[in-house]
Amino acid sequence: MFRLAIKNRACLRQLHQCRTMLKAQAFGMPAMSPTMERGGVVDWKFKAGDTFSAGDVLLEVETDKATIDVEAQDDGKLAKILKENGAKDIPVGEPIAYIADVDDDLATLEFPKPVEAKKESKPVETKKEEAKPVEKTDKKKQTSASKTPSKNGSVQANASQTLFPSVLSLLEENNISTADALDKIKATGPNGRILKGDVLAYLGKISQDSLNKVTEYIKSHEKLDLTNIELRPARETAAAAAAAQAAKPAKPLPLVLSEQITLHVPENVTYSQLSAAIASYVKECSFLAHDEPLTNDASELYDPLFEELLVQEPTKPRFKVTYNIVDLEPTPRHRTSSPQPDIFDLLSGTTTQELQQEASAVSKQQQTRHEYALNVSVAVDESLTDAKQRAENFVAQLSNLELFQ
Amino acid sequence: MLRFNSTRSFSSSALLKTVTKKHDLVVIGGGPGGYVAAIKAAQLGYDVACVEKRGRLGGTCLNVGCIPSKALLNNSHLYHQMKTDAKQRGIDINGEININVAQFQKAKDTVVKQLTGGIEMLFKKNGVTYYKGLGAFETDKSVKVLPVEGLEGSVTEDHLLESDRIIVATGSEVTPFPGITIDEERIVSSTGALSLKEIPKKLAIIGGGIIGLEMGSVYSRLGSKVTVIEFQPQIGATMDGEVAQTTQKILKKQGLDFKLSTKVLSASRNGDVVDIEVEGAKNGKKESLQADVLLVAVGRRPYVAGLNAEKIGLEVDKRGRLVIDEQLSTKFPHVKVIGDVTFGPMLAHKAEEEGIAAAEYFKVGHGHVNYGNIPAVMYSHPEVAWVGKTEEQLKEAGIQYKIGKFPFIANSRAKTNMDTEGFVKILIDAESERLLGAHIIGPNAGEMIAEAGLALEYGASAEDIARVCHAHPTLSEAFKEANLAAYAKPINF
Ligand SMILES: Cc1cc2nc3c(=O)[nH]c(=O)nc-3n(C[C@H](O)[C@H](O)[C@H](O)COP(=O)(O)OP(=O)(O)OC[C@H]3O[C@@H](n4cnc5c(N)ncnc54)[C@H](O)[C@@H]3O)c2cc1C
Repeated sequence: MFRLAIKNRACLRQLHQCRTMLKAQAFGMPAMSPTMERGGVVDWKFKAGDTFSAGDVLLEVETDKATIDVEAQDDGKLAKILKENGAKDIPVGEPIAYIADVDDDLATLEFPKPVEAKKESKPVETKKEEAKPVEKTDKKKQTSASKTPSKNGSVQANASQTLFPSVLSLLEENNISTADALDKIKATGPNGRILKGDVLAYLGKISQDSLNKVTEYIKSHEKLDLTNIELRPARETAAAAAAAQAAKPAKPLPLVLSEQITLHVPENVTYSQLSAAIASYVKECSFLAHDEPLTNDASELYDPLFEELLVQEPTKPRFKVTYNIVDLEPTPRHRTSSPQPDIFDLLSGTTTQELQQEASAVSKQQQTRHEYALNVSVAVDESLTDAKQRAENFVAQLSNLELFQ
Repeated sequence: MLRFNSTRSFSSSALLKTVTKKHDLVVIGGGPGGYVAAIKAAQLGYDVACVEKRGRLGGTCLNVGCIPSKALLNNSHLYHQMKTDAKQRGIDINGEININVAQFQKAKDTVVKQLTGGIEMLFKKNGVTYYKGLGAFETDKSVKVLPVEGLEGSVTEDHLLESDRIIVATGSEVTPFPGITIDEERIVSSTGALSLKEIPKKLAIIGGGIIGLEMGSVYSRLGSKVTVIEFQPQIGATMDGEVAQTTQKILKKQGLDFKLSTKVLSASRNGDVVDIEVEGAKNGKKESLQADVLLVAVGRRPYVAGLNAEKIGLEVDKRGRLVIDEQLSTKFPHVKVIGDVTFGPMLAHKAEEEGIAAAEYFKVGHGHVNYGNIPAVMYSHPEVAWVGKTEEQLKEAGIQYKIGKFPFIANSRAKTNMDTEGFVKILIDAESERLLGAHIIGPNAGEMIAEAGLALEYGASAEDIARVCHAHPTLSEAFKEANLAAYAKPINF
């Protein structure tokens, strides 16, 4: 987001108060970065005649690097759009619209003649002299955009700078006015700042060459030296990373199984009924998963006594279950209460087919169902060899959960 | 009646699930680079996630770097002053002054805990989502967060974070010394040196860089006999030559021993001692040393283990740094890299600057880091601080320069504090008198260097600094006088 100041307009207003006709103000293509020279209008967020408030995004501007929102700093009214959406290659400072005060009447508003972009860089300075409280960022952006570096790295001085004490005293000694200095002395400092060396060079007291040399030297070190980078072959890096991994043998992560199960619950089942039903079902599954033999107990080779001898710490839980129930349709619907559920009967005795038939029959009758998510996570105690298998069985069992009445 | 329907039989299918989340911007690493980038990006309006595997934010700097080392430096300095200096200042202490190592360490740990917790609060305040886990690239637009064992609050399942913008800030790790095994007990890295349980009688340090000299100062003040072994003929890494020499003299006076131009051949632990073999780099003379603790402080290297940077094709240079362009971008403009894991000095404030710039590059298309103006500070006593160019660098570039120097012995505040070692040294361009570098050894040099940074940033000349009114009596007057000396003459010397 980019805050663009259009404050100075209000100040201008005061200067024009005595006139009967109010003036709209040109709104120039903003400089979104110190290096931006031209930009395009991507999208106006307001139409001509619309009023906007401070903080509103007025439009999107496109530079060679990014698309950036331009925010209004003050309340105002979009009087007229000069550059429509899609207009490209507009020099920084060239008017793209007229803006006015919120309660200005567009019918009586006077529109100044559009100014050329080149001249526009100047008025920023004159404006500054008419009306002081210009938002700092605005000034900086606009003026820094107006500088075009010359070959030797010096630029037109930034007119809004506070001069260095060394510069002021040199100017005074040599009877140069501030205005003249800003106009004539080329600046080598950051953001068009006139440095002591610039004045000395202007006065011919030091050589321009040595000034250029040191300026260039400083500039070149403002950036990282990214020349002559020697790349490491990709495989070597992979090997090094692997070696680093091997050096610090990472302990295996704790095994946690997670599952999310969606439950389609009939409308008339309350949350507490559901939660009680699930609690007992989870308990049941957990018990089953611990109890059920893992080997084929129908086999001739199966010997329960032998199996039991093999089991490590038979009474120790193989996993710990945590879960939560999330209402996926939290907007309250009308729900009727139903009698307390009496049985949480699982699979016993009922064949798969029967259950499915029953299920589809129920779903036909009962069209309105409420969705809940059951998030289960199962922390496995891997010190026990059968823990993982049992935990997986538990999750599998649980994921088959389908609730119906 | 409610019934649960079970339709499948037991199976042992893989059941680990991945949770997918989307964010505008994901930062990998929560050190000074990463956490600052995350907060700035959130302030610029992005929905930001930050992935950190350490369990505490703040990275190397807050957990095992800048902050704990400065806590030890400050408290050891106080102890040392009370012990050696109090009397002449008219403070009689009846009874013994002793170090309570456990409390000494605890004071440090408390500070670290408060500061890292503070960042977590800042994340909450700015709406940054914090994932505790290991971040690994899945694609150039998605990062997987994997659970870390034993890490409190770690994610419990894989998270896939999809994002159009990713900032890598995975930092650095201790560079090992070939052939020397660090056990963090007798042979330690800086991390182990920050939490020794007792004060070693003899401490040997490989590496006379900032970290080595800081830790050396701490233990020397606490009573260790410290020997610094450095391969180069000079200590202090990138310090100005003259400053490095003066620093060495001062530290020597404090009791540190230096073996410069000396190569370490081997070191091994034998019970409670460490045997070290060294050789003169020039004369080839061999020597054996023994110490209770050996600190290996030969530098740090970029850290990318587990990041899967190669998987998505990020380039790495010969020194292990992730390759970037001037806008901190990898070959993908939407994947940027900041801090120790890429080019430039390995300093916390450099990482922070880049963190801000990276967020701004994403949001507005431009950012600002002036690599010519990154200060460095060594928190010994007196402190050593510098910014800009050294004499050696200017000579090499063929820039004509002038020097302005002012000793603290001539500064009234330093005098009143009875703390007068060191000087301010200013380097300016011979003709334009623009400030090129500032080098300070002296009390509070680390604070004073900020003024030099400000002046450099604005292109000030020595005169511009000297014409600014400085409060009296302050140490900063020495800075002003040195600038006066650079282009005219000092008043008080
Ligand atoms: C003893 C010591 C003293 C120091 N003193 C100073 C000083 O006084 N001043 C100064 O400026 N600098 C100092 N430094 C250097 C400073 O600590 C580093 O420059 C700074 O921490 C770099 O910041 P960073 O954000 O780039 O990386 P780091 O601080 O290293 O942070 C990177 C973080 O990323 C995490 N991470 C890495 N990979 C992954 C991954 N795949 N997934 C999730 N998280 C990951 C790491 O756990 C780490 O917390 C010191 C360093 C040391 C060792």
